Amino acid sequence: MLVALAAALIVLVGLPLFKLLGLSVRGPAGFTLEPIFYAFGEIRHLEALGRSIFIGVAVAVISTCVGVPMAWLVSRTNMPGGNFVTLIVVAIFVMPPYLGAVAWMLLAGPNAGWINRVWVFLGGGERLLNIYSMEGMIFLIALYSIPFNFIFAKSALDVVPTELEDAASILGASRFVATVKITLPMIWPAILGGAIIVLLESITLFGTPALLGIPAGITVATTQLWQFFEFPPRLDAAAAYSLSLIGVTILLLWLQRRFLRRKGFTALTGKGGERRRVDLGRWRWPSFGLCFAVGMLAVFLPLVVLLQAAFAKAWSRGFQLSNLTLQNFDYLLFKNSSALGSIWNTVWFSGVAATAAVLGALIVAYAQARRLMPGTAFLQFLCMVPIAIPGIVLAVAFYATFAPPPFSLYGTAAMLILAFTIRSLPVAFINAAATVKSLNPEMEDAVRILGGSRAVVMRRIVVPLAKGGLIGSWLLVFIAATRELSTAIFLTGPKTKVMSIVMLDLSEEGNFEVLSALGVLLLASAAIVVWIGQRVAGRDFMLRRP
Amino acid sequence: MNAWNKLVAAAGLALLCAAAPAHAQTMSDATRKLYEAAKAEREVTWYVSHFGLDNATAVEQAFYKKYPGIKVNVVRATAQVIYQRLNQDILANTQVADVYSSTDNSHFVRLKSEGRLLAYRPENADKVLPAFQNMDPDNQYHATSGAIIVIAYRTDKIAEADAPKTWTDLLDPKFKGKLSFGHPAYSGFVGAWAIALEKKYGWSYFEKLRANNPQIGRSINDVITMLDAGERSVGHAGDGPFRKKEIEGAPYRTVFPEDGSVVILAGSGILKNSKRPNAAKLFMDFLLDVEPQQIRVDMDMGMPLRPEVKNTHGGKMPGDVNTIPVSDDDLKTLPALNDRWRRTFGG
Repeated sequence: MLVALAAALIVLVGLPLFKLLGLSVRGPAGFTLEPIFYAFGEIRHLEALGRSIFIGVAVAVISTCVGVPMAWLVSRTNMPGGNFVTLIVVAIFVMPPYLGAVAWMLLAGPNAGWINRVWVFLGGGERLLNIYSMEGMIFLIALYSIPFNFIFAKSALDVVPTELEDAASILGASRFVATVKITLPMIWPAILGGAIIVLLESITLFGTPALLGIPAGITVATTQLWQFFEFPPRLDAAAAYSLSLIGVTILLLWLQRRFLRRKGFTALTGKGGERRRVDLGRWRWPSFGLCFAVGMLAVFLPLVVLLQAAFAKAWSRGFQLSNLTLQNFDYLLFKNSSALGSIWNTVWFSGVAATAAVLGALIVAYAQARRLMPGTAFLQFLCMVPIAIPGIVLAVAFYATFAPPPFSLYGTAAMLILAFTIRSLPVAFINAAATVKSLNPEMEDAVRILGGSRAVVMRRIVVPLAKGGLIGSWLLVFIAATRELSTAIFLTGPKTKVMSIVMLDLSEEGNFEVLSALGVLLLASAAIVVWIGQRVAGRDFMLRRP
Repeated sequence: MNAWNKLVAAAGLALLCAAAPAHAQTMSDATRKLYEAAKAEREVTWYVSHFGLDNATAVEQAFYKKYPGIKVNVVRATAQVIYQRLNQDILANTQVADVYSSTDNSHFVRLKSEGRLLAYRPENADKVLPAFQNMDPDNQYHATSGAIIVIAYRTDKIAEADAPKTWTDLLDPKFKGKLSFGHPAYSGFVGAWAIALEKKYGWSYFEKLRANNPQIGRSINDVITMLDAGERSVGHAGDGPFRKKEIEGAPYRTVFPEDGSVVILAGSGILKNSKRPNAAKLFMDFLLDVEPQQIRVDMDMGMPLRPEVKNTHGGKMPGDVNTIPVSDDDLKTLPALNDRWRRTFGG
């Protein structure tokens, strides 16, 4: 069982990476550096990479500056509506970034966007916003990255005891100084972790740059990568180019380790640990207002325009009764052959992938914690490696490895499910490791003493006890998979389209009404799953972290 | 047998005789044979860029109605994206598409030279208008759609006196920030249009156009979206879909430019490695039938290839307008042009 799992991990993670390296240095006549020269020999290609890194840094800074204070407000203060703000964050997470981008095209298109129309109507003169710009992209990506910063920071803040702040206060520090000098440094690893995840996610995002960047004439690393696949396709150059993205990831993770190694951040001391909330006084409601404004920008406004467009004959005609129609849904559900299939595909691909990732990660984590076989550290490494592989690079590598014979998986459901599984492994593993750590081995030993096998231990002890954590982890992975675009883009065939791909196709035709209708269906199905998840796993399933 | 019965029998016989040729008219022996063979194959996958998604979906449904039991999997994208997908399939050594339809004819030239297309002459190939016949002398691909690229503008935003009459008029600074185009690296129509204009005016045309800060989408239909939204007010468009909105009452006007429209014949071919050759041939026949051409006129006011279908509402045919000719050889330079386009416009 374990050996089979190990072999599967090596094939699914190791082989594609190896293939990627091979492609970028091997030509028809053996070893060559031509793909690398082609990929990096053009200023335009390098500029795209630079632009991506710039966007990544800007996004990380902005979303950290919003997400961390929000987390602090919810976790450590008496701001009203904390649960509601948490719900907003969950909603932002459920909203796929490309769908947010589409909504913002309707909101902030330079001439026809709702915000600009209102602005001009109010006598504001020239247009206010242009979403088809570098700033527009940074704003949007940052907006939909906030959940990462929030989740990381909140989980850390939840366990920082108040005593240290009290000590600072006794020594005469103001509340502000105590927070900045004591609390924030305590959660540095979490802030940094969140920022790095956001930076990586922004660099590897495909949908937003494709939707907003192409009309603005702005190419970034991912859209450049896509261009290598244009005729004549340069898979080798794409492989070489994508290595730079892996390089950026490894560099960041290395910097993070170096930075964190020097200090101690122990918050869980097992002693006392009283946590009192900071009284915001008259800033209580304004603070809530700011959090609400974030929700407004990321969820409510986009939802309003998406709903309007979904039920409109032409979205630009606005809110009129004569403009109302159900034909977009009728078209999606009964006329278009790929839309309904894509909804079903999205749900079952994501479901199977989430299940596989959670179970696989649990087995590896358990084997490692109980030292069931040698080499588990290597298995752990394989589970965590995908964190360093951007989605679009994973897709390129997967494509190069599994599309041709002997695997011939191109166009099959297995291709997407495996890719989604690999992509989800790190998150699933982090959660599984934390869950396993919380189990006392004595209970398992009791079963073993009474003659039960490891399988019985798994079935009767580990899974029942870890159920809550596993369901939470499953939901997290499931939602992330339903939003997946960059991985899917190279891997879908005619019968394995997922919703994100259908939406991208629709955007290519400029069919925003039908696109919005599909988006509404996606959000509705995600909302149902989240609702069920909250019933089963508790409201904070997403935010409960080790 | 009494007289009445004889009469009924005779009438029945007469009816049968009358019905038989009528039925044969809709389905020839050859077609029936194809259909029977295709039934076992059950489906056919169609990569298409020369119809919009709505149009392609309607054609798919008409096919299923005519030939129950054979499902068409429609994969619609812009020409270069669908070609990229096809090449990806070829690279991966997998067979997905059975029939390939593109707005960029250089795809067919290339596919043919690589030996990837099946020579097949649909039985109704002689029934299309002469201008659309024999696109490839070896019958590896056939014209299945066509369009004229014209200037499109909004009459409520551009006064008639200011309206552009030629492609060079679009360089006028008064159109700064008002222009919208598709992208040649995505759309086959836009690719042919860009090649035509480069041929006529040289690359400097696009450099001057750049100064007017045009919005560049992907599909040529993006322009209509931008005009619909009021985001931009002048651009290029396929004659049909835009004129349809004009006739339906939108404040739009179509201009056949004096310096030449760009006419595009878009083709379809069967992939040689298709594992469903009968369904593919049946579908290829169907593309040249009256029904899809009628759908095209009804939905998109596209140019019909069959004389039976009337191009209503004053649509033009290639012979009616000034054109800038684009040859297959010209189209082969498209990858180089795309590179140049990106240097000029970014994206």
